[in-house]
This record gives sequence, C-alpha cells and structure tokens, in this order.
Amino acid sequence: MTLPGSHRNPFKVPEGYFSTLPERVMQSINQEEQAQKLSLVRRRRSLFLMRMGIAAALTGVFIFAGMLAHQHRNAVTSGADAVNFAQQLDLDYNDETLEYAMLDNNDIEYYLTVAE
Amino acid sequence: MYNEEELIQQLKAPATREAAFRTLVLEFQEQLYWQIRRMVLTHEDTDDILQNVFIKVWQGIDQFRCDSKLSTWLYRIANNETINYLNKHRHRTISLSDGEEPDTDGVRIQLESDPYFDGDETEKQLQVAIQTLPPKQRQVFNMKYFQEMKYEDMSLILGTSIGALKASYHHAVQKITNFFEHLD
Repeated sequence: MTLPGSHRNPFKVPEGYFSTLPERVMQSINQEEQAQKLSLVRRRRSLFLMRMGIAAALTGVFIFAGMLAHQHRNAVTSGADAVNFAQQLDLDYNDETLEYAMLDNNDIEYYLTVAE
Repeated sequence: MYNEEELIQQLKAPATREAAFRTLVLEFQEQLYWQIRRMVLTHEDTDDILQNVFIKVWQGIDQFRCDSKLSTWLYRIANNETINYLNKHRHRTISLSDGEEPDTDGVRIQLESDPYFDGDETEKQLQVAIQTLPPKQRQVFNMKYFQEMKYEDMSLILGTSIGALKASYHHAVQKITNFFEHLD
C-alpha cells in the first residue's frame, strides 16, 4: 500500500554520533553502577544508625522496666542500693543491645568509616 | 558480521563482557536508533532513550534466556522504553487516544525547527499524520512501512498476534490516508 511521501528517511543524525555512541554508553553504565554503589552504602549507614537508635530505645525500656521490677520486689532504702542498681539488674536483656548502648562518638565514627 | 551464539557467550562471561557489549552496541545501534527516532522525532529524546535501552541490556544480560534472538530481545526493550517515555511525556504527544484534538501544528512547527529534519512538505505531513496514531499502532506502522519488517518478526517483538498486527497496520494506513484527504 502506497502513501503520500516516500520511504526515504527525512531524519538526520549529528555527525560522528554513531562512532562515539559505544563509548558514551559505557560511560553511562559506569556512572549508573557508581550511583547504585553509593546508594547501597547510604542505605547500609541508615540501617546501622536505625539499629542503634532502636537498641538505645530498647535499652532505655529495659532499664525502666528493670527499675519498676526492682522497686516492686525490693524497696530501695538507701542511696547505696540505688547506686548498685545497675550491677544487680536481674533482667534478661540483650547483651548486644547493651553493647550498642555503650558506644560513644569515636566508636560510631569508626564503624561509619569501616562501612565505607 | 557477528556470530550470535558466540556473542551471547562472550556477553555472559565477565572477562569478555565489555568487549562483547561494545560489539553489540556497534551492531545494533543504528537499527534501534531509527526505531526510536521515528516514534519520538527528536534526536535528543532518541539519544536519551537509546542510552537507557543499552543500560537495561547491560543490566539484563545475565537474565537473557536465549529463547529468542538477540535482535528480538533488543527491539523489545527499545519498544518498551519508547512507550514508557511517551507515556511519561504524554503532554508532548498528540495521540488521539486521549480523546483530545491532536496538536498537529505543534508537531509541524517542531519538525520545521529541527535542524536534523530535512524532509519536504509531503514527508513532513506524513510524519505529522504518523504522530496522530496511538503509540502502539505507530510502532506497528513504522516497523512495517519503513523497516519492512515481517509480521512474524513483529509478533515476536511486540508480543501481539499476526492477525492483530495486520489489522492494526491496516487501520493505521487508513487513518493516514484520511489525514491526507482532509488536507486536500
């Protein structure tokens, strides 16, 4: 079936376009892969910080619960008992959680650097 | 000329992947370029889409199952990327599928101002007419009319039955014929 106009291609391409395209494509691919790697590192950092935040919150909850349980079982009669409270905790808490709660700023910086 | 089986093996092997991929780009870049260009008209948009196509090909090489020809797979990706692009930039298209009046003047002006279009008046009108077709019908028309592709090959690329493709092409030709009749 013939339509008005020909089968001629009326579109043009910038000179040298096809000879440089393979290289440009590889550059785009490398950029895309770099961007994906960066995104992955950022996600890992966010996950790490989120876990720390949860751990810190849980630690606070456990300590508070422990305090309530301790008050319920043994009346605190002296300041010395209160001071020794942390040593006498008999809660079943997560060791890893406590370890997270004991991290200071230097530790955080170290882990973030290692994550890179 | 490349050996398809050998090229696929080289693409899947990490040591030879990049070199094989460059061969693939050199082999298919023009076919894919024109496939896209006839749909979106401008060189800049075509370049954007074509880059995305090759990125998708690179990322999908390991998943390529060899149950179709390499060319079929590449054309399929190119067509899908083009349709996605057109849907994303819907305000720029003049397809009648929206039920709106086509902005044929807009396309005509775009072609006249495009330094990479040197068609005569009839060729310009033909391109305007083609742009009034819905995207998928436009693909069918371009593949059949300009690339003279067989319906069997189009069916594999587009995932549409041969009967449906023939009907689509027939309708496209009728619409374009009507378009020119209204001009006269």
